[in-house]
Amino acid sequence: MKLEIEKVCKRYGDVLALADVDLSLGSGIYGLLGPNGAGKTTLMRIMTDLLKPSEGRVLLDGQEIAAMGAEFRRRLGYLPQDFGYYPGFTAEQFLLYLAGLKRLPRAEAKRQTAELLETVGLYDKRGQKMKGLSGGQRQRVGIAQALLGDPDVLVLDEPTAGLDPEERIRFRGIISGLSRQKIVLLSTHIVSDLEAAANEIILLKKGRVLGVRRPHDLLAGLEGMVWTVPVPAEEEKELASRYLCSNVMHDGGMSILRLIAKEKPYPDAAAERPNMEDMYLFYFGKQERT
Amino acid sequence: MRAEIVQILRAPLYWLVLLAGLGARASMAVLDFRHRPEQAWLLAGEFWSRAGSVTMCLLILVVLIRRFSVDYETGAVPVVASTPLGRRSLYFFRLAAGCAMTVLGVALLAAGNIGITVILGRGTPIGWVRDFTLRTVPTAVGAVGYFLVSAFVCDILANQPAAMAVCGIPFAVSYFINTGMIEPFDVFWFLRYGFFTELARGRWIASRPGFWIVWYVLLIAGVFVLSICRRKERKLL
Amino acid sequence: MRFLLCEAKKHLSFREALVGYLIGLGFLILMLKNTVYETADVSEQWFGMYQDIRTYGATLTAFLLVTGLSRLMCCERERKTDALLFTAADGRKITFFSKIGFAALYCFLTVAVVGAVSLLVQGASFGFADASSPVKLCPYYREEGLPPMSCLGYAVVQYLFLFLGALCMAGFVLILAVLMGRTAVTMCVCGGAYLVLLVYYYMNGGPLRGAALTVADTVFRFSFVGFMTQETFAWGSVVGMPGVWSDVWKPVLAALCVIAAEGVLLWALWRRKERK
Repeated sequence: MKLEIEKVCKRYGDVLALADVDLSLGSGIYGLLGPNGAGKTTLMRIMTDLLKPSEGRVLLDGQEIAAMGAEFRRRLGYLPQDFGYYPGFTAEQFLLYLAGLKRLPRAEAKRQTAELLETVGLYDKRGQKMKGLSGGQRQRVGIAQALLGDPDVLVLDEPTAGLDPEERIRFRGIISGLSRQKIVLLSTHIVSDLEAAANEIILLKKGRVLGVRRPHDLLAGLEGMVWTVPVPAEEEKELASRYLCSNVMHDGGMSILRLIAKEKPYPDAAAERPNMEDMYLFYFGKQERT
Repeated sequence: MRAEIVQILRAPLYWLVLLAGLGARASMAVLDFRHRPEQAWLLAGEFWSRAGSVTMCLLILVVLIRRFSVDYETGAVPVVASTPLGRRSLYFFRLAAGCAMTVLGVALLAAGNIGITVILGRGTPIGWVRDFTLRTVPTAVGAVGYFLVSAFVCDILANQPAAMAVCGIPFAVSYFINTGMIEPFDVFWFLRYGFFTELARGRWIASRPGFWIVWYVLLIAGVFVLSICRRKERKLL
Repeated sequence: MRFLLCEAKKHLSFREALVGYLIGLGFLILMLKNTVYETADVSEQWFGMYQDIRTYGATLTAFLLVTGLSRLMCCERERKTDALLFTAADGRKITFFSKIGFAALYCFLTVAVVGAVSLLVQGASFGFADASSPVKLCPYYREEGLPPMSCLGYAVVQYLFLFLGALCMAGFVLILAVLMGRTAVTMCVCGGAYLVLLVYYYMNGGPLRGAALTVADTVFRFSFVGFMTQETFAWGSVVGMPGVWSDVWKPVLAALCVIAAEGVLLWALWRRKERK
C-alpha cells in the first residue's frame, strides 16, 4: 500500500501555502513536524480530499484520490485539528452516526463503537451527551471516530491536544499497534510523542519539505552540537541571543543553559545527548548568529 | 466602545443592508414619480412607514444584535470574560455602540431618502424636508428602543437566529394589522403598537400614549433585568 | 431512516426552531380564536376556511419553515463537523439526502399539524355542516371551474397545494442556507423574500405598470409565495392558463418542476461547497 503525494502546491491568492511537496508513504507511522503556519493542516486536508491542490495530485496505490471518491474515504480515517460535535448526541450516538456514514453495517458499527470506546477509556461515558464531556474526553471520541471502519490511511491532526500524559501513552500504544498494516500520518507539537511512536518524521517549513528522516537519524545529526552551559545569571541573555537555546534552568545565582552550537560555546560547556526539542529548534528555530 | 463602533462600521452587512434599503426606495421612487406623480411626494414622506422601518429592523436584527451572541457562537467567551473590561464594561459598551449605530443608520437612511427624492423630484415642496425630518425623530426613538429589547433578548438566548424570531415576528405582524379594526387592550392592539413598530414607522402613538410610555419603559426594563440575571448566572457581569 | 432521525435530533438542538414552535403555537391559537365563525351561513364558513388556508395557513407554514430549516444546511459548517462528515465514505451523499428527506418530512408535518388543528377547530365550530356537500354549491364559487368534490375534500386539496408550496419554499431556504452559510442571514433573506412577495400580493402590484407588472406577476405566481397562497393553483387567474379544474395539472406540474430544479441546484451547490 502506498500513498503518493506528487508535486502538490497550494496557493491562497499570493500566499504559497505548500510548494512542490513530493512524498511517498508506505505502511508505518509518519510524524509531520513544523512550526505554526508551515502548511501541515493544509497538507493534511489535501491528503484527505477536503481541499483541492492548486497543482499536483495525491495517489493511493496508483489511483488519484479525487477520482476514487467514496472508495478512498472508505479507507480513510481523519481527525481534524479543531472539530465540532452535535451537542444533543451522546458519545455512543455520535460514533454510531459516523459509523453509518462510513458504510458500516449496523451490527458491526455497534461492535466497533463499543470496542473503540473501551479502547479510548470512555465506555462508562458512552451515554453522556457530547456537550457534557470535557475537552480531553471529546478529543478521545474524535480519536475513536477516526479509527472506525479500520481505515488503511489514518490522518491525525494534533491528536493528543488536550490529553493528559496517561492518555497520551495510551494513544501511542493504540497507534503503534496499527502501524504495521496502515499508513498513519500524525502532526503534533509534542515532539516526544513522535520520538516514541514515529517511524519517520517529515519536516515541513514554509510549505516546503525539508526532509524525511527517522527520529534516530535526525538526532544522530545533532551529535556533538548540544551543550549544557552553567553561566552567571547576568550572562544568560547574551548567550541565549547568540545561540539557539532549548532550555534555561536557574539554580542559586547561576543559569544553566542548554545550547545548540557547532563549536563549544563556552569554556565550561559540557556536551549532551540531543533530544527531539533540540532537533526541532535546530531545524525551525531562529538561525545561529555566529 | 470605539472598538465596538469600528467593528460594526467594518461589517460589510451594515452597509449592504442600508444600501439595499435605499436601493429599494430608489426603485419605488422612480416608479412613483413616473406612474403616480401626484402622490409621489406623499409616498416619499411615508418612507419610514414601509421601506425605512423594514430596513432598520433588518439592520438591527441581522447586524447590530450579533455583537451579543458572537462570543458564544465563536467560543470566545472564556477569553473575553477573563479580561478586566470583558464583562460588565463590554456589555454596556456594546449597548451604547449599538444605540449609536442605530441612530447613525436612521440618519443615513433619512439623508438617503431626502437625496433620492430631491434628485428625482427635481426640488422639494415647501416644508417637505422639515416634515420628513420631524417624522424621523420618532423613528430614531423607536429604532433605539427596538434595538435595546432585541439586544437584551439576544443576550439572554445567546443565539442570534432565535432572537430574530422572537423580536422579528411581532414587528413583522404589526404591518398587517389594520388600525381601524382593533380595539384598545386586545391582542392585536398590543401587537400593533407594543413593539416599537409604530414609532419606527415615523409616528407617535395616538392611541393612549401615556399607557405606551409606561409599557415601553417596563418592556425595556423588564428584558434588561432578565438579561442581567442571566449574565449573573453565567458569571459574565 | 436512522439518518433522518439523526437530522431530527440535530434539529432539536436548533434554538431558533424551538422558539419558532412556541411563537407558531401562539400564532395558531390567535388565528383560530379570531377565525372561528359565528355566522349561520355554512357556505360562508367553508369559504372563510379556504381563505384562511391561503392567508394565515400559508404565513404560519412559511414562518415555521424559515425558523426550522434555515440552520439545516449550515449546521455542519457552523458546528465544525463538516470535516468529519465529508471524509466519511458516504458522508456527503448520506448527509445531503437525509437532510432533504428531513426537510420534506418537516414540510409535511408542518402542513399536516397546522391543517389538522385548523380544520378540526374551525370545522367543529359549525359542526362540519355540509362537509360532504359539493363545493360547487358555495355561492362564492358558482361561476368558477371547481372540482367535483365535497367541501371537506376541497379543503384537503387546498392543504395539499399548500404542502407543494411548502416544498418549493423549503428548497429556496435550503439553497440560500448553502449559499449564505449563516443561519441568521438565511432567516432574514428568506423571511424578507416571503414578506416582500406577500406585500406585492396584497398591494396588487403597487406602482408597477405594463411589462414590469407582467414580469412581477409571473415571478410572483411561480414563486413559493404564489404556490403557498395558491394564486398559482387558483384556476381562472393564472397567467395564460384557462380557469378550469381539468387544467390544474399545469400549475401542479410547474410546482413539481420547480421542486425538482431546486433539488438539482441544491445538489450542485452542496457538492461545489465541499471542495474549495
